[in-house]
Amino acid sequence: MTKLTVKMYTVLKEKTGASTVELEAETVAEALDKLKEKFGKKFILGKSYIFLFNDEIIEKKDFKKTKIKKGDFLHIFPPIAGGSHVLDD
Amino acid sequence: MNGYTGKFLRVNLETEKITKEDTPKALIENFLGGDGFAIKILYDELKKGIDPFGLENKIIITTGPLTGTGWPASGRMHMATKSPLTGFWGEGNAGGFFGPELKFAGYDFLLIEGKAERPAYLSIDNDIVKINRADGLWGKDTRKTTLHLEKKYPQAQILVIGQAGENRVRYASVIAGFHGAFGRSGLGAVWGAKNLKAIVVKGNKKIGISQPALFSQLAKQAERKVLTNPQAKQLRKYGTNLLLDYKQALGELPTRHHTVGKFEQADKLNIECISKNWTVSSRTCFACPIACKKIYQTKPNSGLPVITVEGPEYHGTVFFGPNLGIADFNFILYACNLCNEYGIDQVSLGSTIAFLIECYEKGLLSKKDVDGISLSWGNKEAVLTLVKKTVNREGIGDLLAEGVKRASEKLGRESKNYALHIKGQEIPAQDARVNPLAGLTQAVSARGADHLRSSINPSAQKTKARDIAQQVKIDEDFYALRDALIVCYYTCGYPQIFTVKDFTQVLPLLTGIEIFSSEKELMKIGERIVNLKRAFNLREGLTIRDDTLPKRFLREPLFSGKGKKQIANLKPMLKYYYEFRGWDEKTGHIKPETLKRLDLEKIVN
Repeated sequence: MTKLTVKMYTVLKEKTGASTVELEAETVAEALDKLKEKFGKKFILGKSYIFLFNDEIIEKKDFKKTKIKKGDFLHIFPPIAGGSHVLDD
Repeated sequence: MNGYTGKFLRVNLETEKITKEDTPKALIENFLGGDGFAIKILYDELKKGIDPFGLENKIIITTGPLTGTGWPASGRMHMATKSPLTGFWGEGNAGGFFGPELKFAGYDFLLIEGKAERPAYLSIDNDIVKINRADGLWGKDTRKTTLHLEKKYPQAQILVIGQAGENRVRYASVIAGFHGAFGRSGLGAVWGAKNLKAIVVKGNKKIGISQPALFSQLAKQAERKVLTNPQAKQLRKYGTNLLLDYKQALGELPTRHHTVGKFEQADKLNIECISKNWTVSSRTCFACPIACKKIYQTKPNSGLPVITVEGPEYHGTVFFGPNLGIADFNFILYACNLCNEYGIDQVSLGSTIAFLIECYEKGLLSKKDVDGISLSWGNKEAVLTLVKKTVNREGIGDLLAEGVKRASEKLGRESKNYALHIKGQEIPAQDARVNPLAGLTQAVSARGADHLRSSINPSAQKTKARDIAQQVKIDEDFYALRDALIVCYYTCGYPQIFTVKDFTQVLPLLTGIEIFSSEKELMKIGERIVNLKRAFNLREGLTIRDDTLPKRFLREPLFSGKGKKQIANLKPMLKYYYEFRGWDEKTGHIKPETLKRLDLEKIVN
């Protein structure tokens, strides 16, 4: 298990009340599960959310296989404008 | 006629002849409105090779069928001319209330010709249209001019130019209602060349709607869709500056003239900091529930006057902030407002100043060459001095007023390596090394480097050249349609609130025109508009070499962020793009079969 710094912005930050969270996880998928556990319904990710793992955009299909190393960052951005209300499954 | 007024105004400033003419049915059915009207009219009425500052150039200010109807986010308007900055197609799009008021006055668009003998302004009060003397206004900034005219014409909507336009700074803007800007392409400079200082409009006529009850129902549903959209709510709360954090994290925040993509002082410009310390309220455009415009106030005791003003948007913040090495939002706010008061494009001016600083730092210019100004990244005083010099074309400002392309041609030597422009227009805040889709879009856009013709969201993007090219083509066609309707970018950008399907439903209810019920026909109109703009540019001498990116993006990788070790690989994307467009890949010309398919073969000669 390695430490990951998660940064959240705008509407997600408002809902969870947190801009930066540090947690330990093996993969990005595991980190997101831990965030869901921590914040419950406040941590809801729409389909158009953007995930930046360090400097790269990663998609949902990559979450399980993206392993966390020391010093890694995960930025979670709600999209800038427009977008669907439909949530991730 | 429903959705349209059926009339436009032709105003000759030289002869002072004002005529009211019919909006042709064929124009409506084939070009819809907005930028569609603009390109068709100017393609027909401007001759090849005219001087943008000459008598033969024209200015067209257009509305779309949705303008003034109450459809959400329909307050924007379009303006076009032959650009003095690029020598190609020039256009701008501004928010506010002028467009709807023009329709309430009874006009689908205004066409301005000739040059007034003395400074003049146009006043339109429904059917009463006059050319008035503006000698007392010439030399005044946009704020003072607008205030003066507001007093004389209460409840009117006003467009003005400032000193930058009067002095024909090649990227001078036209300002709408103090802060809305037709920023790019040098539209304000063409006004200045025509001695046109302002246009005032007032109207109280109704816009006909074919099926008002159903239209109203659909518009209310659309409004609800926008109001309850969580991302639109963010935009309402934060404005476009919420892009700063995202771009910093991505490594696409233009810093010190696009030399790096992450700004070491970005924490001073994060959106929470700006919202908490400077935002005082919001403002909106006609019928727009998003209200993305933010009102900011400078801090007292900062050494700058305390002002409460709208803006800057993300682009202004970048080009008077990180791209000049400045992290002081107080200063950025002041400088961007100064640009609005002078009526000058924040992107082009900020970019041109950055060009000068880089040339100076690289030893291409001496201190004497730059009027003794100590140029360095982060030097705010120097920036303000250069803004004023450029507006007034004083000393080094006269060079800067020409834009980076002409400035670098004059300076010679290596300066061309630092002139970041496409077709003569300075690069916006999108980096082709991070965002290849934006890179291709900028390279091929009709008005030069353009940030508004495709999606800004990299997560929506493809990675293969062929897929990127296809996406750009689709986006461009859809956004041309957007600018013909006219609806705001923020309802049509990625991810979209409104789709083409929405417009196929609302347009027939508004206009009664059945062909608008076809998605295929509406997208064809968008494609037709893009191609006619291309034809305009080809007629003006555009070649395939003009579809390119600055060397910085083609040869200099970024050191961090998503663009780390990346350069823009434009060639393969271009090849596919021309293929999707039906353009010749060797010449960039539109193939005859494409012209025929788009019903342009009789128009484009």
